[in-house]
Amino acid sequence: MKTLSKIIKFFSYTSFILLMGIIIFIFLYTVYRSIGIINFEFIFDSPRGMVLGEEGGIFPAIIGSIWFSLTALILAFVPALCSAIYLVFYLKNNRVKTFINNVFENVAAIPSIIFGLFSYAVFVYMLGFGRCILSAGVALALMIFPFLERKIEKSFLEVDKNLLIASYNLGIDIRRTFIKIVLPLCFKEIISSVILSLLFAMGATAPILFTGGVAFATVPNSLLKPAMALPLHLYLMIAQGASQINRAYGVAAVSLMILFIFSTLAYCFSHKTYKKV
Amino acid sequence: MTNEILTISNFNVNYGSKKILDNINLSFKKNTINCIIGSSGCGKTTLLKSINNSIVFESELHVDGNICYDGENISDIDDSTLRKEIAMLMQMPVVFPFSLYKNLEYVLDYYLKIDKTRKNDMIVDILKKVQLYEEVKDDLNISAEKLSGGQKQRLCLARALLTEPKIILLDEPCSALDVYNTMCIENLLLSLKHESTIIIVTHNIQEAKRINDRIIFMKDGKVVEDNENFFENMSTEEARAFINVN
Ligand SMILES: Nc1ncnc2c1ncn2[C@@H]1O[C@H](COP(=O)(O)OP(=O)(O)OP(=O)(O)O)[C@@H](O)[C@H]1O
Ligand SMILES: [Mg+2]
Repeated sequence: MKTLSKIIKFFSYTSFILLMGIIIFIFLYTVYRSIGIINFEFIFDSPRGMVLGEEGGIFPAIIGSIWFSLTALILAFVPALCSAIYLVFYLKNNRVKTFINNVFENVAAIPSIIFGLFSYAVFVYMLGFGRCILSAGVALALMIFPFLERKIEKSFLEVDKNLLIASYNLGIDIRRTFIKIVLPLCFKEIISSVILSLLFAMGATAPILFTGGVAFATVPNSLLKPAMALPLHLYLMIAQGASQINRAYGVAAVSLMILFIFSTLAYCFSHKTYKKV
Repeated sequence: MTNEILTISNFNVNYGSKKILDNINLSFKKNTINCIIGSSGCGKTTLLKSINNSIVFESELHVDGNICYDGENISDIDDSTLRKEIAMLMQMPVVFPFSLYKNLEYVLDYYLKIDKTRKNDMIVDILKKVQLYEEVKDDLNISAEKLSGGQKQRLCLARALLTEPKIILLDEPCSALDVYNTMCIENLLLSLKHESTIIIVTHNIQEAKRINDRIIFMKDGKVVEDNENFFENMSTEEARAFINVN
């Protein structure tokens, strides 16, 4: 028995160290390779060059990525929150509940390019929006919806059921119970799921490939225009054989920085709000 | 007839093939204290949950039969309305994860539109009523989760009383209280009897003796004895045996 637990301990420690090592390595290596690349021009200029991106900067891609993911988030968040509330607090029929949960789980497993295809067929063509941020946002929203819904639902399910029953026993309705008791307890979780899904959307390339992401565009100023995006820009640069691979690392480093900034903001925000409750 | 506020007829609760409540027929008169006694697991808590319809939260239980409150079947009454009129104090006190004051304010804000001073007065009054005020008066903003078990019990009682219920269901309200506080709660119940009907589950036979207008003795999901002069005149062997060992 003792040797078994020792072996398990050994494996969990080594895999943890290995995993952390790889993550830290990727991070440091990306930063290392992008030293000298990231400067004012790189961040705030538009891309130029024979192979696009070899000169100039990536500003339109940064802003484009933020637009894409925020659009997706706004489209996905409200339905995700509402479905989670409905499933946890209102739906009584367990069979229907299981069925809907299965559907969501399956949707989460669909390859993201399928969402792109769907949005391409419906939004770009049928509804005539063309390739634009909105069309791509829909594809991304479909992709993050089940992820977001699951996470929010899980946070609701973690609330002690006795608290809810105690509140219902006072004759207080579901709505008030939800707002006053469930929401404050789940607020932090919800915010962190929102940020995670935002980053999930920001990192996705496939859904925007033929719905709204383009090789070159100016800084977007409307939802009905196409835009550049960081991962797509990175892909195109490498795919077209850019001579300066370090610039690709620069794009990656900027992506990591945005990720870091968003999660820090979310952390501070949820921390501050939590104290007030 | 008009004196009866609650009638339970042919009421059953099953868990699979297990009978938790078995053909319960009971009616409750206004302004009485009804004590339910019986050994652990005989279905007392389940009976109370059925009365305020909070049994629906246990979806695995199958319920059938009728419970009428004020002449109306409780399944026809909106749950919120029903539970405002029929308050329930759970066996395990559950306080909300905010301050003691806010625990009470939560109920007041829902039912009444009143100003701050009036709210304060009501909260102080109710805390005095349940004998909690002296212990917490220095800091009403103390986190309710930091209170002792007995203090939580009294806070929950205070919270339940704020809805001014017609029927009060209490599931072992004094189980974590000392003799002094138990006496205080008993006196409170005796005074509340003038406005409401009280149905109380207790393991404390002496307590039941002191406050009861009627004893309902349960065993294995059945009502074995329902008696207004229980302690003078027990009619069943089971009840006698139960009293002897307790
Ligand atoms: N949700 C449930 N699912 C399955 N069985 C249940 C459920 N709730 C209660 N029971 C069973 O019903 C029986 C009665 O439970 P109940 O809680 O009503 O007992 P009680 O008389 O209140 O006991 P105690 O004095 O210990 O509080 C027990 O055997 C219990 O196992
Ligand atoms: Mg019980």
